[in-house]
Amino acid sequence: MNEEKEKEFEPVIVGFFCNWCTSAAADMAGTARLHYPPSIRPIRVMCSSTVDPVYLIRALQEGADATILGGCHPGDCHYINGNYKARRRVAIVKTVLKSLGFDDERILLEWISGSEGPKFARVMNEYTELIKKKGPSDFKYIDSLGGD
Amino acid sequence: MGKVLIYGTSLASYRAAVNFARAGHKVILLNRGEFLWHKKEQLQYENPRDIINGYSKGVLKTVAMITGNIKIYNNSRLLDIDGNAGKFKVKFKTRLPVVDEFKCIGCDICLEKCNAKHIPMPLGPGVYFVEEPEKCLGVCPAKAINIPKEEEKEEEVEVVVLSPEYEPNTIDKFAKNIENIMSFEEFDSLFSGKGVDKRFLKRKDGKYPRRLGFFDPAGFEGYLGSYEEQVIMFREAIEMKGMDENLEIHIFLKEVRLYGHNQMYLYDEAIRKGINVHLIEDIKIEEKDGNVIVNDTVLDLLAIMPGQKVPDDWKNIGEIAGIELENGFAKTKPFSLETTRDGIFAIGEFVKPLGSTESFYQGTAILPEAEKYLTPPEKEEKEELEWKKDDFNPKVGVFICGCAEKDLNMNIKADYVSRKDFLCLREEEIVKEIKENGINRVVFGACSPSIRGAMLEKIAMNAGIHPSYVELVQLREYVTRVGGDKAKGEALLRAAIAKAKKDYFVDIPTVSPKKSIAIIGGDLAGLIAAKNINGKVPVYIITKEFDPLHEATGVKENTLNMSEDDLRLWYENLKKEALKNAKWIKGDAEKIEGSLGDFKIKIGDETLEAGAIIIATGGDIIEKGTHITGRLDGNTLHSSLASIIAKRKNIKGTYDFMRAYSLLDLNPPEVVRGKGEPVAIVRAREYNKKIAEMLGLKIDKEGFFYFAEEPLHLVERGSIQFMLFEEVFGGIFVAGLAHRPMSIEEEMEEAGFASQSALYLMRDITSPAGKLISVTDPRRCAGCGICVNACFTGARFIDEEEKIAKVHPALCMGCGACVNACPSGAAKIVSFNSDGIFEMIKEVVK
Repeated sequence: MNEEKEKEFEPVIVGFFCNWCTSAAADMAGTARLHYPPSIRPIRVMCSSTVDPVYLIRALQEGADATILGGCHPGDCHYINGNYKARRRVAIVKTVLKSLGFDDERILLEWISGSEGPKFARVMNEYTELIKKKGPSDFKYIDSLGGD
Repeated sequence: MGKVLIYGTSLASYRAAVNFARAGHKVILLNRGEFLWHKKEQLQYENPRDIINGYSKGVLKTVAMITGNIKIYNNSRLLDIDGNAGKFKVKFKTRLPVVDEFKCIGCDICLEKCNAKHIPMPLGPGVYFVEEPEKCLGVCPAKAINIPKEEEKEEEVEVVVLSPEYEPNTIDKFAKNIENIMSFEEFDSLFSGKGVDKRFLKRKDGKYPRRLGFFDPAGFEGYLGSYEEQVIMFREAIEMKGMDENLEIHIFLKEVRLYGHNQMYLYDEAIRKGINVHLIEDIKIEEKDGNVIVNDTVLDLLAIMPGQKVPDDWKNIGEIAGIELENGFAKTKPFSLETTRDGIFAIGEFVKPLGSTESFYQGTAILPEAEKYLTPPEKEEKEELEWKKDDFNPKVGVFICGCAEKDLNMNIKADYVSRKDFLCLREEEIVKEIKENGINRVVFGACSPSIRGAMLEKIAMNAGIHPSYVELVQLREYVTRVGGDKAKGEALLRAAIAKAKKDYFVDIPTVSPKKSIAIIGGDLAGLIAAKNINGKVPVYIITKEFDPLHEATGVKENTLNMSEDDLRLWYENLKKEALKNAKWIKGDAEKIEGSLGDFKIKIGDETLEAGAIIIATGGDIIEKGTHITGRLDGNTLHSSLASIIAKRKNIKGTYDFMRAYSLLDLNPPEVVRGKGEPVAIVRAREYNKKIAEMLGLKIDKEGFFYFAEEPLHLVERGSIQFMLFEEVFGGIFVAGLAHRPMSIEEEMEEAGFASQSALYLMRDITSPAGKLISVTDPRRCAGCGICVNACFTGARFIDEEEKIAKVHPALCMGCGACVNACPSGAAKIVSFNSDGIFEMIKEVVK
C-alpha cells in the first residue's frame, strides 16, 4: 500500500491567493481543520489583479504542474474591480497557451470568498485530482524543447 | 480624555466604540454575549455573513488593540444608571468569558487536554468553548481561560450610549406546522458559503428543491423589519439562479423595499434573470402532497423573512436608564440621538428599524452630539522610531512557532534559526536574539496574520526591524492543520526566506492634509455638518442661497408630528448655530482641483483651500398629487420621502412599490396600490453633474451622487463599509438630498457621518497601503496614463510638470493593479517586487 502511494504522481500546484478572500478561505480551511492535498503551494498576493500573467507562466516553467489564481467573487473585490481585471488576463493567458498547443486547464481561476473554507478545500481536492489524472506538465521542458 | 459607556451588541454600538476610541476617548463596551457578535441576531439577515463575522468584529478588535482605549465586559447586564450628564455612575453585572478571545491564540492545547469544543470562524482562530474551566486553568499558555464568575461593577462615565439589539420574529403567523417552510436564517445556512449543491441545499425529505420561494412580509400588519432584508434576499436569489439556471425561483412581496441607488437594480436584475417577482396583496400558504402552495404557485421549499420584533427586555432597559420609550423604541429629542434623559444616547435598532448603513451612520454621527459632555482628549505625541536600513546585506533570522510546526521537524537553511513554543508570547527573547545576532530580516513561521500577524510584526519593530523586512508564513493554517506535510512547510519557508533576501526598505509616507473643510451646497445636511464641526477647523459653506425647508421630517413621533412653526424654529436655530463658526461664501464652485488633503476650489475671484469636501447640493422637492411613487426614470427610490409627507398631510391615495418603512410600518399612510400623480419627488440638480465631473464622481440616471453604498466606483456595498475606511472616500463625502431622497432625520445621520469622517481626516494620514505603497520609477515612466485608469481609488495621477505618473499616498491601498497594468515596468510596489515573487515561485515548486 505504502509503496504504491510512493509511486503515485504527486503534482505541485502554485496558488496565487488574494489576501482578502481566497487567502482568508485558506485560513478558514485551516481553522476548520479541513484536509486537502499538500500539492497546493500558496503565495499570498494582495489582489488577484496583482498577478501578472508572467507569474503564472513562470510557475509552470519552473516546474509546477498547474497554477490556481484565487480571487473574490465578482462584485465583492476589496479593490472594487481587481477580480475582473484578473479574469480578463487569465482568459488571455489560457487562449495563448491553447493556441501554442499546451493544456490550458493547467491554469485555474476560482472565486472563493473569505467564509468559504469548505469550498476552498473542495476545490483544492478536485483540482489536484484532475491534475493527477492529467499527469506531469510538459511545460517545464519548454527550455529544452525550445529552438526546434 | 472623555469616558463613554456603550451598552449592546450591534453594528451601531461597535462602530460607535471604534469612533470614540479613535477620537481619543475611553470606551467601556458592555457586550451582551460570551464573545463579540455572540448576539448578532438582527444582522444575520442584513449582510453576507463573512462581513458580519469578519470585518466589523475585526475593525473593533484592531482598534481596541491599536488605541488601547476600549475595555470590553462580556455577558453584561445593566443594573442602574445614577447621576447626570457628564457624571454618571453606571452599575452593571458582568461575567468573564470562559475563553478571552483577545488573548486566545488558537493553539488547540485546551482541545487536547481539557473538555473543549471549537467552532471555526473566518478571520481569527474561531471560538473555543471550554467545559469545566477550573480543570483547565494552567493549561492555556496565553492565559485566556477564566473561571466565569458573575460580579457587580461600577463605572463612572460622562456619556452613556444604549444600543441593545433587535430580536427576529417568528414565522408562525404565516406558516404553522408546514414541513417545507423555513425561516430565511435557516435557509441561508443551507446555502451561504457552499453554493447551490445537492449535498447541502435540500428539503427535510432529502430532496433537492427545484422550485424555491421567498417571502418577505414587509407591509403586512405587525411587520417591523430592517431596511435590508430584501437586499440580501434578492442577492441570494440572483446568486442561486446564476449557479443553477434550472431552478425555478419565486419572490413574493407586498412592498418592494430596496433603498438607495444600486439596490433597486437588484429588482431589475432578478426579473432579467427569469426570477418571478410576485407583487401580492394577500398571502395564502397551504400544504399539498408535501409541497408548499403560495397563492396557487406550487413550490418545493419556501423561505420566509421573519422580520423583527421589539424584545421584552427593552422595557427593562428603558426603566433602568430612566428614559422614555415610544412604541417600544427609545424616544429621542427631535433630530437628535439623545434620549429624554440628558447625556444618555440611543443608537441603532433601539431608535427605529434601520439598516446597516444607517446603523453605521448613527454610530459615527453620535460623536459630535456626545462631545458636548465629554472632556476633550489630550493630544498624543508620536515617537519617531529609528530603523536599520540595509538592503544589500541580508541576514535572515527564522523564528518557528512550536504551535505551528508541531512535530514536522522541518529542515530550514537560514542565517539564524530559532524554534520556540508560542512566539507571540515571547517578545523579550525574540527581540534579544534579533539584536544579538545582527539579524536584519525576519521570517516568522507561525499562524495566520489575521490572528497574530500584527503582534509578530510589532515584536520585530521593537527589535528595530522595519515591517518591510518582515515575512510571515502561516505554517499552522496552511500546513499543519490541513494535513501536515513536511515538504510543503519547507517549501513555503524557503520561499519566504528567498523573498526576505530580496526585500527593500520602504519608507511609508504620511500626508498632512489642509486643516479645513468645504461644504458645497445649501442643503440642510450641509448646515448640520457645519454645526457638528463646531469650529474645530475652519469651515466654508459654498452656496448662493440656502434651500427651503422640506416637509419630510422623519419617522419618530415627535418629528413626524412636528408642527410647521416648531420645524421652522428648529431650522432657524440650526442655521444660526451653523453660521456662527462657518464662513458663508456666496457663489457656486466653478472649478475644483486636487485630491484628499489638498483641494483647491475656485469661486469667482476667490480660491479656497480645503482638506476635505462635503457635498450637500440638495435637490428640488416637487409636491402635488396623492401617489407615493417608487422610482422615477432611474433607480432611486422616492417613497421614503413621499410616505412621510403623505402621512404628515394625511393623504389618502395610491402607491406602487413601497407604502411605508421603519416606524411608519406601525401606522402607515392610507393608500392602496395604483397609479397617480406623485405626492412628492426629488429632482436632482444640474449642479451635481458639474461637481461630479470636477471631482471624478459617479452620478446615477436621475442625477444623484453615489455614496456609501458606492464609495467612488464601488460596484457592491459591503466590505468597504466595515473597514477603517474614511480614507477610501478620498476626502469627499456626500450628504442629504444630493445623495438620495431622504427625510430630515436621515439627513441628520448622514451629515453626522460626513462631518465626523471629514474631521477624522484632519490629522497626519499614514498611507493605508503601508509597506505595499506603490511608487513610480521616473526613468521608466512614459507618462502614458494607463496606471491612472487602472487605479480604482484615484491615487495615481499624471504630474503636469514632470509628465510622469505620481502616487497620492493617502489614497493608495496597495492592490498592485497599477504594477500589472504598467507596460514599461515603471509602476512598482517595492515590497512586492517581481524579483522577490520569482524567487518565491522558484522555491515553492522545488
